[in-house]
Amino acid sequence: MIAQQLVYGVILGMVYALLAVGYSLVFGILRLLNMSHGSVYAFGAHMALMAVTLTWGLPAAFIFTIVATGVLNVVINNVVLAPLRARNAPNITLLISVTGVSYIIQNGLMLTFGSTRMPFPKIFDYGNITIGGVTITSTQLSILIVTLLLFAILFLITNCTKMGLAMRCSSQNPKAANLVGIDVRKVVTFTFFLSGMSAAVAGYMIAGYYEMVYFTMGTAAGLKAFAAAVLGGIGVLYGSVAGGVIVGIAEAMATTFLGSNYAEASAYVILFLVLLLKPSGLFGKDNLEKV
Amino acid sequence: MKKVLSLILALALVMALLVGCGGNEATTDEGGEGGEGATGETVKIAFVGPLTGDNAEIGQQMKTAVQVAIDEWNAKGGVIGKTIVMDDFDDKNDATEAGNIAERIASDDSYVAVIGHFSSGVAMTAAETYQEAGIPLINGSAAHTDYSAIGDYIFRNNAIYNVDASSAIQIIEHFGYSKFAMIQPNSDAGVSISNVVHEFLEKYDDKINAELVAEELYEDGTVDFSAAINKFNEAGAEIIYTTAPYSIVGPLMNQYKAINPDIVFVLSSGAFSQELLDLAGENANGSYLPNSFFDQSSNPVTQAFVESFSAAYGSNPNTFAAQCYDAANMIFTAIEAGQSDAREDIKNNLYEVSVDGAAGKTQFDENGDCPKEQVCLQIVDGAWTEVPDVILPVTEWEASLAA
Repeated sequence: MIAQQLVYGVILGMVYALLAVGYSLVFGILRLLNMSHGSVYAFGAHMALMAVTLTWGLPAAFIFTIVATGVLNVVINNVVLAPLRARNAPNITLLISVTGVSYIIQNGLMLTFGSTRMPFPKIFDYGNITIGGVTITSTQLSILIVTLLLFAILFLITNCTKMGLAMRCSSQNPKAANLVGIDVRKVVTFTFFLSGMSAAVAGYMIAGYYEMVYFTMGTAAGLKAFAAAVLGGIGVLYGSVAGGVIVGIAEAMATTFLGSNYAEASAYVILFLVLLLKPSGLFGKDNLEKV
Repeated sequence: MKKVLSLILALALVMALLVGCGGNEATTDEGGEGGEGATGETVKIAFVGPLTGDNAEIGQQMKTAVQVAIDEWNAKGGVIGKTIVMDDFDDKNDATEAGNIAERIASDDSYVAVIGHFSSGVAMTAAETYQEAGIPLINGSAAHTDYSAIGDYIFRNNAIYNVDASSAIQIIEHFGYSKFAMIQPNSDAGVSISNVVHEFLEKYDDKINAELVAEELYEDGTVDFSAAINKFNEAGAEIIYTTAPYSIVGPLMNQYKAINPDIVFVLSSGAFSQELLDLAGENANGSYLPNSFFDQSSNPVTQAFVESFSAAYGSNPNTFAAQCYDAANMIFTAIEAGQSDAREDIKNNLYEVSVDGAAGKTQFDENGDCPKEQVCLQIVDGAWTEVPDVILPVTEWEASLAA
């Protein structure tokens, strides 16, 4: 039973990690808590639902979702955040602006798609696999694989490409990066696109996993994912995976030993303990500017 | 400069939207005043419910149902010669919001009665204010035993917990299941219902064969139930009793059936909706649901209501919508009976009148509760069907066990 619960915890952790990485990407560059990420993820899921209902086929639907959501994130950056940054607005102004954007997106989704929970077709349904008394459904397995794949891609982009190098430079010192000829604005735009893309993948996978889409789906999941990102050290990509998995396992274990009503609290208790001992998170760098 | 302009344009758009929404309300009111036989005077009621947020679907349904009742009365010439109008308020099913709205309604003398508030905890917060102000409130969805005890102005048109719990146990017994598990919301409502189930099990220990093998409380907004399902499975549960709304039951069924295809569910009125059938698909088949409302019932009142509701809303009404419709009819019948729209007269007459409603006969007892009789519904091939002779009214059931 414990082994089974551990596996469920890891899968749930992957769900959180899929979302947490979006917070981490933007925070890494801008030191900004992008509170609109949860709503962008809900937007991605709705785009996926639209593409799936129009029966475009899986690859086309997937690409459409990623592009549409990436573009939305770029629009948020260029229309809302870039003008504020150009005027040297304090970080808190940016934070409040993205929170506002999150409500606009959420209510826009409600007006367009309605307030009911809509069914979403199950992804990769090939029955269950049982190994040594532990059962895992093919959907859960696909979540695991896609999350790891997404992280591998993001890792390659940030570590092995010129753009990735520019991202890391801008993250360390935007002014100096500008001086050596890096177009920081372009880097920021790219990062937002990447973060939107990860939200789209999360939207598609999580909607397919739980077989439903609804306009408030980003609120609770976004908050938990944010906790996971902070736990792992926000701004560090693999920290998001670690944070997500820890939160997922904590919830599964709390359900096993204490009951479901303690699951939610356990995630935050662990977050609290980790931050007490290591304020920058498990893998976070200590020299972060406090926000 | 361009950016400033685009921002201003965006703002203008948003403003236009907001103004547009406000305008809608005004036009409905004017439309009502045009009704025949109207003297130009109006009777104003307030509707409060979750019109946005997680429970928006339920709130929108309840509001539409009340509007359907109002339109029907206005088409007949209104009540005591006056046109009925409604103002709607959005409490987001949040106790703080509900408290503020209740203060606003109570301080406005033009409202003669209130319909709505969704969950028990929220309704009870607001009810205190209505009771103090002396304005009648009929709620169509609260199930908490203490709700109607708040005062004589507080009415409810919904089954209370002991009815729900007894029906669920009767279903489990009737179909011969021996091991059941419970998963309830971690709220006042969820805790109360599980307490009532425990009380019944203890009281009739030797008469009830079914054994409660595991129970869980979930937090609102939960979508992943795999850990809880695993616990139930390990405990050998054959049937699961939950009072969760459709939004929770849908994913729960999908996740449970992926692991154990033989599991059966007993649900409650919050899950009675087309959306559940859409969300859970085949996984919903075989589930039972005791309910006081069945949209395919042969009752002509129910049929007429379902027809006008789905014309206005686009889908069939749920239980709470039907009960709010009956609640609205109760208020107008009470006004008509007393020929008065004074708050106190409405309150007094609400205890006297009865309505043959969409969700069965509606009549308030001395506590302001409406004794509901339930029928057992089952989902067969993706549609609700009625299974007759399963559920006895709670008093008869208890009498049969005590015998």
